Amino acid sequence: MTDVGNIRRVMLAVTETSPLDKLWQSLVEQVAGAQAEVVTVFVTDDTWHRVASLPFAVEISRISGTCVAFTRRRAEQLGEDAAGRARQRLEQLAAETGLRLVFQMLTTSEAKQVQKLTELERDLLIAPSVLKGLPLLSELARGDGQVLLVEVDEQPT
Amino acid sequence: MPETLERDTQLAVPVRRLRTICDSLGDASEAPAAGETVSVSQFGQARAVESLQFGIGLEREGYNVFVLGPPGSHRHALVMELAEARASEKDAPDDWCYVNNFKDPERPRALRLPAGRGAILRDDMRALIQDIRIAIPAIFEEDDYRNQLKALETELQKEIKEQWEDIRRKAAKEDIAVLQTPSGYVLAPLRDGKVIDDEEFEKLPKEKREAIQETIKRLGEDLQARIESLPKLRKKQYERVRALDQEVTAHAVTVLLKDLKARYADVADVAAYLGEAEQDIIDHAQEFRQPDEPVLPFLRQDASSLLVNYEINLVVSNQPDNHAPVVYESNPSYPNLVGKVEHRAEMGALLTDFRMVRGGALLQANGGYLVLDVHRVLGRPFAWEALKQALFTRQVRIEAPADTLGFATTTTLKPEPIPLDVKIILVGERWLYYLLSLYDKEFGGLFKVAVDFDDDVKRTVDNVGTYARFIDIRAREQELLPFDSTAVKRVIEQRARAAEDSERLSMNIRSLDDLLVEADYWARRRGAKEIIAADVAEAVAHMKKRLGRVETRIMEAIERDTLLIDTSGECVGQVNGLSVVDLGDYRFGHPVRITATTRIGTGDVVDIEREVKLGGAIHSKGVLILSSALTSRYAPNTPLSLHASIVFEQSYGGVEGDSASVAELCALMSSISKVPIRQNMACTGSINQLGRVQAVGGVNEKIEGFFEICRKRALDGSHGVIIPRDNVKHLMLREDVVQAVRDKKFTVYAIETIDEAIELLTGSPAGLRGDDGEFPADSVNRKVEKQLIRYARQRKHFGEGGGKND
Repeated sequence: MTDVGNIRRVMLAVTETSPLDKLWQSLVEQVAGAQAEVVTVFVTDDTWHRVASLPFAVEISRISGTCVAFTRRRAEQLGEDAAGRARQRLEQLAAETGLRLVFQMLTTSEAKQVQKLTELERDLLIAPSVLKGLPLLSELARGDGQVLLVEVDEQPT
Repeated sequence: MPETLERDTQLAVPVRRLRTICDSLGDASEAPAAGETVSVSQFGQARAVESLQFGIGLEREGYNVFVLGPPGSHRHALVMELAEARASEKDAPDDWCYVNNFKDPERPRALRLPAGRGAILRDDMRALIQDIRIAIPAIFEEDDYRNQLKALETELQKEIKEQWEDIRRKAAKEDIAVLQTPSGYVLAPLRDGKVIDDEEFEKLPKEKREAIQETIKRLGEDLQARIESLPKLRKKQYERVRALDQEVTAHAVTVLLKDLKARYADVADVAAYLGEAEQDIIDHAQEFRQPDEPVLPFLRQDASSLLVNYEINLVVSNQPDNHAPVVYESNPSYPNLVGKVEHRAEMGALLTDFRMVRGGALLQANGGYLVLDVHRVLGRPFAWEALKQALFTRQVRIEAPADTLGFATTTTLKPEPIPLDVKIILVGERWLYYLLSLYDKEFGGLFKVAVDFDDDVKRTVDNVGTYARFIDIRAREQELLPFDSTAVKRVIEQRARAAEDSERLSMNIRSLDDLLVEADYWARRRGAKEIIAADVAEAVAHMKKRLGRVETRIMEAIERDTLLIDTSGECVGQVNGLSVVDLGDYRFGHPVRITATTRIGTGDVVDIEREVKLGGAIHSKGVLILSSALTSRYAPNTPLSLHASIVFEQSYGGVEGDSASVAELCALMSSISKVPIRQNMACTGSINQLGRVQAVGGVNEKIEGFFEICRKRALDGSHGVIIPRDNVKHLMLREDVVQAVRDKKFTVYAIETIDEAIELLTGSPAGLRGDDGEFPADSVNRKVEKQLIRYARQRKHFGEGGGKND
């Protein structure tokens, strides 16, 4: 257990499919009332971009069954929408618990941003267990402070 | 005694004939017992009563009744009395309701029930609606229902999930990922559990690439087919839930309706309706699951609004222990007569339903009698046509007049017509009956029974007695002081005066009531316990005073010589005629100066009133007749070579009637003969071509009008009025006039011929043609004839060239 009195900044890594409420609950338990800053790192998956790169990729409407081309723009939109939803929910949770939230969006290929985050002083990194083994998590974990992996079921895509 | 004076005396009407007093009330005048009523039918309306009883009693098509008679003759009272009597022998008719037509709500159904059961059905259905409001939503809250509903939902979700899992399994087998976006699905090839990108894909052998694309295409089509089948699944689910809802609702409704159906099993229409209502409730079972609060506050699409469809609109309600209705509709407008479909404003639109159908007087009177004032029916737009239509078709079709004419601009209904079995009794004045008979070809077939009320009754001893009893009863009914015998006699005399006939009594009950009430007022004012003749006289005098403004102004104008009337001296070609002014409730007479001028001419008698279009047709006719009388009486073998003009001096309104033709002829004869006419006399009467004087109207008012002027200028015994002998029976003069005659200060003369008139007016003998064919020398007739022959000769002379300047 981290010394609660020393926690000033917590880094929370989430993905598109992470159960935010459960991760936040783990975070709150660790912070235990300290006035810490939470830096959320939204790790976007490049799956949608990979699909969009395929020339025959189409999206079939759930309502009508009609097909439209699945473009890179659509892939970006899906990522932004997911990040937006996550941010909205996390901001809501932060407001409820009185914690200050900084939201960052990150892809595995954005090495510069990862570098900056690594240099950022933090006391605790919380991440879903699904990120375990990914190079990105290893990079993030290189900084100071403790790393906590939370076992959660990712929501299906 | 000079011949003419003797003649004057012979022609004077005896005092007793000037006003036929009522000196006995006869045996029939015995006071009626308490509670006894004397109907007008007992004295003078026997024919009307018989006709009315016939019309009311004969229940055949077209035998509707038209009651003819003047206002105030108590036509309505007698009609209602006899109709009520007949209706009391008949059972109360059926009730009528409008109910929702579940198959076609724009055409509400009419339900017929025995009297009294309409209201019961309405209350039963209200109770049923309350039960449904509670019972049906409650069954949807029961665990049993919820479990069944949940099972159906689970079944649907299971089917959908199976479809989804199936496609995922198939895709996974072929290394294809099925990814979900917020709005759909994307299929992508996998390698080592990860979606490959275009670079990796391009590195694959061509055959592999084509195989992947083919697989994705096939899986995509499969996915599309499954998505397209989802609505069918949901519809199937909806049908299952609907069937479930209907099943549970049917059970509840059947229980709720069981007793009701049993109660109305004997009324086939109602039984059928209840069956339809039951099925409709079941069909709309799902709508009862919705909460009572509207989806949007201003939209009433909740279960409550659905339940109103089962309400009963009772349009005709009768009591079983009552009898057939007798309805008097005082305002027979189209909606009041036929009925109407009301609307309510909602969201800027006018909406309606079967509950807003309103029945009119025709339906209220259905099975009985409907009494209407014909002038009111004719005065209301569309009412007369609607009434005829209903009688022709024998049914009441409630629709707006605009619909009938095809002008409807909003949603409306076409309620089922209701069979009509009603006797219409129209009450109106005679002229309306004759007008309709003449111009409305359908009228005769629909109103076959005419009931003609008499305006007056003979003044027989029996009728006087009955009238006296009637006066007593009317006084009691109106809580007036009792009338003593002198007052009753005075009232009867006044009724003769109202009838304008000393031998008849007016049957205008309204004016009788007015007289009784006003006499009561004056009696009470002097603190009396009973009404005496003086009170009746006071009432008559005050009626005259109240309405006498115009008369007073005319009399003042004569007194001040603004209107020129001489009541003394003599004048050639000038005579006092008599005129009557009718102000509706009040009539009065006054003298009017008539002058005539004559000269040589071609036989024209010019009626100046006609020339300036102030003379009516009858007046013009009178002047033409007097011209003819002149021609036939004088110089029959000589062309009439006269030009004469006659005028009512200072008359600025219309002149109508021929009652001045005697006076006009006298003025003409005076002008021709140059024999002056006495101005202390006035004259009235019409004349025929043979010189016979005929009766005229308003003789009492005319005499009193001239008397009034003479009285103001001091009666000296020379004043008098000449009237036709046939009018003597109409004399019911004021007491003061009679007294003046009795005192020999005033005289009323009755004449039969123009010769009598000219003798009275000139004081000279008229003269009868002798065996030699000549009138006596110095007679007025001789002078007239002589002058006419002179004119003829002069005319002949001019015709031979002697009158170049004429």
